[in-house]
Amino acid sequence: MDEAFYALVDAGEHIRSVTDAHQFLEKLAEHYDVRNLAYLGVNLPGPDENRPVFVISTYSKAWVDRYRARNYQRIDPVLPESMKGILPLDWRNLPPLRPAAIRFFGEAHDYGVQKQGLSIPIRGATGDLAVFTVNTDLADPEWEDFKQRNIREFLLIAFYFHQQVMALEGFKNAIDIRQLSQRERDMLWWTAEGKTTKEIALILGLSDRTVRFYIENAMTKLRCHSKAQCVAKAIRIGAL
Amino acid sequence: MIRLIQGAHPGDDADILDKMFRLRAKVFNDRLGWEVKVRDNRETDRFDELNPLYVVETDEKRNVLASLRLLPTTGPHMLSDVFSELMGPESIIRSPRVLESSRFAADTELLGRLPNGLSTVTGVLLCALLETSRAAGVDFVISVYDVRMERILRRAGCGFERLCEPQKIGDVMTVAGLCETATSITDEIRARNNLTGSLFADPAWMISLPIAA
Repeated sequence: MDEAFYALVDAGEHIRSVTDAHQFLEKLAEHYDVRNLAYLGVNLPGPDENRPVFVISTYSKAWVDRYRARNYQRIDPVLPESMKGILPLDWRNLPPLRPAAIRFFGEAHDYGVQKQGLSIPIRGATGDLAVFTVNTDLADPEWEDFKQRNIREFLLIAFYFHQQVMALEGFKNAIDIRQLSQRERDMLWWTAEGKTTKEIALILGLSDRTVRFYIENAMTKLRCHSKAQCVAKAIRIGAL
Repeated sequence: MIRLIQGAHPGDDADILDKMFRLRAKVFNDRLGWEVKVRDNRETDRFDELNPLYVVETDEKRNVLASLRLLPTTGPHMLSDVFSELMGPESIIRSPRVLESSRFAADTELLGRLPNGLSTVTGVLLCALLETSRAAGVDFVISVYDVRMERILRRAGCGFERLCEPQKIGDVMTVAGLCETATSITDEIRARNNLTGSLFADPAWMISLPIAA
């Protein structure tokens, strides 16, 4: 994963308003050269429990207004289908579409929604649920290739973005996912001492794989792109 | 053959899920003596109500040979919510690139007549688990299991590595383990068990996933 990706993730940490969040999605869409990105959260805990869904996307305002006015959530097959599972859903694998859904996609296309989509479900620790969608106009082979290259990054982005929205909504996660475990701190401490994964594995009597697992967990928690950056950040926030 | 079945939306595979819950009662309650809740000869717990994804291996007559349950670690899961004592409360794992596998069960009566039955069936199930996870962008699968499972996993060529020292929970020596979804791991399982081609009953499953296995 490249520096640009984590620079974006860093920018995501500074989301303080819905406008920020929207700008963040636009920057992401530009970075990945995709037409649209969309986030939908349901069941978000927080002060405004009367708001059943939280939507933020780069879709045109005309489309969002039309979708709302016509209650298209009743015929849009993507959201219910992607929320059913725990794995990302490629739109090409939606079950056979009813005529209403075919008309819906036709109309959506007129408003700038493209044919390829990947919708990533996110299940949170408190019953919160969200779907993060990537939407492009690539032909099938290019789309396949694009997914292979980027799916792991999109999983992280979707999860981070959801955390930011939760924070935005005033909900403090009951579990601080940025808190490092003793094992993770051990790994970063030895890394700070200049030890490689292999050396740490030897010192602690663990396998390389287990060491990589803990380091990757620490990097996910602290949203860092390298071990060195992770060590620096752990020290800065007092986690080490 | 392998079927992926969504807990809350089993579609045409509701009968298979029902057989799986019966198998789990037989394995966990009758044979292993775990403290599990059994009603109507079926074993379920609160995580089954969270719409998990089941990976189920069946024969051509829709008998369940083996099964396991997958939960995202971003949501409630066993290591964080039930077995947090194993690794300490701050070791809670929440990552979109880590899934948790639990309730691995195999029908040793059905398999007993086949040579290497248990190890092959375990190999197919775990290989399908890892290939599915990898295709979905997941790097690691974690699991909490009875240490008696380790020998079976090893024989199938699937090395789960311990993340902690085994601890006695109830009457069961329990340990948390980790497996990587890398191709090197699935290649090893496939070679050990002579597995070729797609393991999935519905070929569309792998197309639905972002990366072909």
